[in-house]
Amino acid sequence: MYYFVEYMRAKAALRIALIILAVVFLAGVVVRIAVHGPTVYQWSSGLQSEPGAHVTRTQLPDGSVRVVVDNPSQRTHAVVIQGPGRLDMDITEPEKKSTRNDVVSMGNMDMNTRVHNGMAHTVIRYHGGLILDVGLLLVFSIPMGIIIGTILAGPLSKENDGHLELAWTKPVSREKYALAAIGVDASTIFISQLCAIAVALLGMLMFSVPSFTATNMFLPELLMAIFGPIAWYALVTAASTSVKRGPGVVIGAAWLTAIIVPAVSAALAGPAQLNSVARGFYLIFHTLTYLDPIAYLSIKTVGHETSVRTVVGTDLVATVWILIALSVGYIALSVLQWRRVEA
Amino acid sequence: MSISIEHLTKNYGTFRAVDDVSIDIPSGSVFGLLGPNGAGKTTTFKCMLGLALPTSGNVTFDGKQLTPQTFQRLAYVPERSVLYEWMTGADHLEMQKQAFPRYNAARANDLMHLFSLDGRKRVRAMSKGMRTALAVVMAFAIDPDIMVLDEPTSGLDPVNQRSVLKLIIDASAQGKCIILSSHQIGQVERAADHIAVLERGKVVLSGAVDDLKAGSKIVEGIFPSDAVALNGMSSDQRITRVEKTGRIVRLTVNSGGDAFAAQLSAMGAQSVRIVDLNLEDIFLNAVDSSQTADIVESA
Repeated sequence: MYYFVEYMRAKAALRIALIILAVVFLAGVVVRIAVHGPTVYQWSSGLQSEPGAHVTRTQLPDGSVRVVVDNPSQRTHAVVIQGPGRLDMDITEPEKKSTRNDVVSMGNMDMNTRVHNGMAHTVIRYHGGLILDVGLLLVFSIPMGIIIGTILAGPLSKENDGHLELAWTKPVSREKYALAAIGVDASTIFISQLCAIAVALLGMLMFSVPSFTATNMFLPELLMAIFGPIAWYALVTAASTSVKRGPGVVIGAAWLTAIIVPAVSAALAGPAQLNSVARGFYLIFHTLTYLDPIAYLSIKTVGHETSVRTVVGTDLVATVWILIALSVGYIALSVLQWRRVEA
Repeated sequence: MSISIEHLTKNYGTFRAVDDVSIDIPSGSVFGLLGPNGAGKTTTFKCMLGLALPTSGNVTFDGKQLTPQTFQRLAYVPERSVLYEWMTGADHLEMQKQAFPRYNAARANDLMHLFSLDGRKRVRAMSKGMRTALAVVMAFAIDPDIMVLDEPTSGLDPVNQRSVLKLIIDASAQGKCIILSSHQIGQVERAADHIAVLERGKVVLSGAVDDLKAGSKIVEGIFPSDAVALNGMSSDQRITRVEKTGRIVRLTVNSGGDAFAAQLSAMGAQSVRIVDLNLEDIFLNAVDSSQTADIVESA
């Protein structure tokens, strides 16, 4: 195992990933404790079992059950419609505070409470269990992959920072050495993403048990989750391989460039229609945007629709192919440089 | 395993660091590569091991080109520390174990003990000498047939320097091929059987140490004052070097040592002696060093 040093670096990076995830998970636990209370189902059954409650049940044509709870002694009136994966509640009950208006929307539950003249009117719409798109869950692990990719980026430059005599006197060719180091890092990046997904699922389980679904875009989403961070890692590695003092400066410059280039490109899109100089600059920055993996990793939520919208406007499948091509291209560029570096 | 370097040249831009160097290192020998700072010793090593690309020339190991497999039997101790600051000594040994099939854990432990190294210590907390010692341990632990040692005693205390020298001599006795450079010429003299002297990238002298010493003598005379007239002695073909430091005159001669001793006595020397050449004399003769004080003439 001539990639032992990279294995050690990968272990250290995974340790950082686990620390970040532990902090996020603990924050989730704190939130869960803060919002601790009865579930909507527990609330509904509690109203029905209170002393003096008069309960009327009616089967509705769609199979759901309408329950009307009237409790004159408690001055409570509730209408509950309960069906598979759905619960609507409309409750009127006494309230000590004179005026209040709360609107809470959490995941698949919306709750609206209005208090007027000592009576609270609460409307709850609960749309069943959380339905989780596995493909999008993978895509949401990309930020963790980018963080660990940034930490591990430039493994060859790290060797070039005073360790070539150790790296190159092992019984292995330079090409194999470089590919093994990159392979270790790529695996570590993906493992960190899997850890992020596991922690995200654990966090969700604290609130509700999700049901999983996958669209026909699952495979592209999976590939995007894998190759998005790797393309970024490969870009920084390619840019830094010949740098003798480690990849730090290159990583900083790469982040700046990755953010600035798409921003300038977007800013020049309008003026480019009117001005030939602006059009020239726009073409340069827009072309550079195609080489920037970060430009392909935008996720947008519109209403309840979450989807991948790249800065360059490519669709998901095209994005995946581009990310794969960038990963392979940047890795090849890294290895080619590595062959020519001198101690 | 023997090493052959043929017409090796390495340019950095317009600067020629190594200039047409040809050296043959026989199997089972200790070869000392000497030269002042910047003479091209380290660059020669780097070109030998493929760490730098030679401009021209050829290096072969047992008649074959260097391949990754060659490193299964080759260890290199570089001039400066190339260890990973964030790793411990034990991590470095584990790295060797993982990469080299001939790694000998027992040998590594013995050597760590010999140099009083703590495997749990990170390199960043180690002194220069400890780093050199760890590099030496890593090299010897993989049981190599060829060892390329660039200043392997740099920063070590005299006791550990002696230990390294003993390791080199023992390895040589086992038939290993060792090439080393050191500024400690006395150490090279103790260990090496062949040497080459590099000066400004060129080999200015090479051969078996015994052959280089044979025949040549130093005739040393001490005069009452430093006003000594040498009467054109340097024009004598038997004298290769004339050196004058204050009241002391040293003549390096190919033959006729007794005659020159008598001549110095006749010139008024208070004491005259004839001594064998040591490696330092050979080195200084070869590089015509400016480090020696008050050289009057050079033959």
